[in-house]
Amino acid sequence: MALNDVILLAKGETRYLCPFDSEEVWGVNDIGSDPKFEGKKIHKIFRFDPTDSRLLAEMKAIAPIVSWQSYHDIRYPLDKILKEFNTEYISNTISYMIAYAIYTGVKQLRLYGVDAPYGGIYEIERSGIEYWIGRAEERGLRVVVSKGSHLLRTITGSIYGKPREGNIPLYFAERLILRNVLPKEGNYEDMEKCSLARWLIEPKERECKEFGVEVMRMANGSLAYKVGKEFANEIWMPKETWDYIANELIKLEKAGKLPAEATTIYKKLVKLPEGGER
Amino acid sequence: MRDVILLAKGDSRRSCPFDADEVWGLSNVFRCPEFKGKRIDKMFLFDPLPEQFIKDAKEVAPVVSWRDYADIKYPLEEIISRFNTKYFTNSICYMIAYAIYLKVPKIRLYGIDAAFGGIYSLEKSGVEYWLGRAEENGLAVEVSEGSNLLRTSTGDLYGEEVTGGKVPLFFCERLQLLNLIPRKGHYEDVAKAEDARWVFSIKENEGEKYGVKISKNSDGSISFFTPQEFAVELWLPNIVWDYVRDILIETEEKGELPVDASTVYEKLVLYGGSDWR
Repeated sequence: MALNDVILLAKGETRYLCPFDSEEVWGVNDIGSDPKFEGKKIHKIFRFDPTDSRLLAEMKAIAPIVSWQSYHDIRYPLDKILKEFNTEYISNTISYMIAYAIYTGVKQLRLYGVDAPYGGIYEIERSGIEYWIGRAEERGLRVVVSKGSHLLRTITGSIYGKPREGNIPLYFAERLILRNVLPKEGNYEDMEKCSLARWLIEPKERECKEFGVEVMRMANGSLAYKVGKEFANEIWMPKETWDYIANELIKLEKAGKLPAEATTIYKKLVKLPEGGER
Repeated sequence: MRDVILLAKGDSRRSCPFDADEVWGLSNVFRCPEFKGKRIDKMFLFDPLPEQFIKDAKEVAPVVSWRDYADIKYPLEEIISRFNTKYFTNSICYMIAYAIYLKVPKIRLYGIDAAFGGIYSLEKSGVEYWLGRAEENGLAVEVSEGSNLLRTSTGDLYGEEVTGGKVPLFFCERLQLLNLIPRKGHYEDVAKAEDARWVFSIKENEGEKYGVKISKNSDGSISFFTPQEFAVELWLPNIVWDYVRDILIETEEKGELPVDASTVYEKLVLYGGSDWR
């Protein structure tokens, strides 16, 4: 019988928001080994990579494995799914899972820990996941993305073509990097803009409480932050601030001085608003 | 209408045969010299644009947009209502949604190449969401040869074939590699560097398993502390392996290979490419 509500659980930061209140929870790979999920019910594990016996045993202790590899407990109906959807475009485990949900008639799919951050390998995977979400939605499957995920949202939260203004999802580390990239001195007009930018991105008191951020004042007057685990929050930026930061980043990039760790920020604030078009 | 060609400025634009019932052009594609004299039936523009640009576009074909400068009004509200989403990341998304809305039976994409790495990979997100919706609606979608749309990085199903290699690396070797990877540069270069950095960086589960403490410094850099050395097999996609190997070779040819990077050089340059991948 088709399931009404399934949670798909992967390893992104938003996994900790998972309420485990659906009919079934489907886990990606070794997600069940996360100590924070001890005692939580995961009904199926999806795995498709070649895997050694130790890791397999660990995963099978959590839930039966769905796969087309020989180690499966529940056979993934690959041939039927390829035929049903007339495509071989399956770029990661989550894509397999969404295809499986559509194929088995799931009514609602909630995604936790599928954060698709910009940068790194997840960016390549993001588009494949969105392809399958598009197919799912068009078939009437309701897809709900967890708060903090970058899936199914433009960088501003507005449709393409609107001005640069809006809520931008930034990781804590990105905010610290951005603070360091911004100038520390200059003329009054620039420093006024810079000061607002700094205020917008610096960690707020409620965030410090929520995510256990410690703030330390160093001997030279600067602030240092310590955080137990990474988190992403949406930072609202008015157009003027966004433009100011984007221009500072563009200046650095043109000079060939863009720090490597600032690439995701550059992507979010400079490139994405251009729509990734040629 | 039987089919429509969607035309953008990626390299595969040159293979566009202009033989569809209609050709829809994106943004400034009309400025490509090789398209002079070719028939483009509609131009799709959505950005705020200078007057002259709009005028030039209109000389080629009527402009479809939800902006005031439109000749053909883009039915934005109807489309948002029909698909119940506002997820449009670029003009191509608008064009695909429009094609589904108009019930075009087939769309053929040229110059939308979505190359891996750098900014063009961003074309994939959003666009593939709309391609998924198009296919579910029964639209035939044809992607030009050379485009990375609707294909995995290897062309194989995920899990089907190893397209990189596993390399056993000690914790300190990974730190050495992290130090060798450039920390600043132009966007396209540092984007590759960031992919490599991600592969070699210490993952949360390793931190727990081996007691590695990770602290983020206020300058954005990361410090690691570990009570004991350990080695882990890392899977390196070919794109990362080739990138790092080139850096190691370049450093070595300049006579600047750090002595503590010699084992990494052996693993990734001298032996790499044979048994491990």
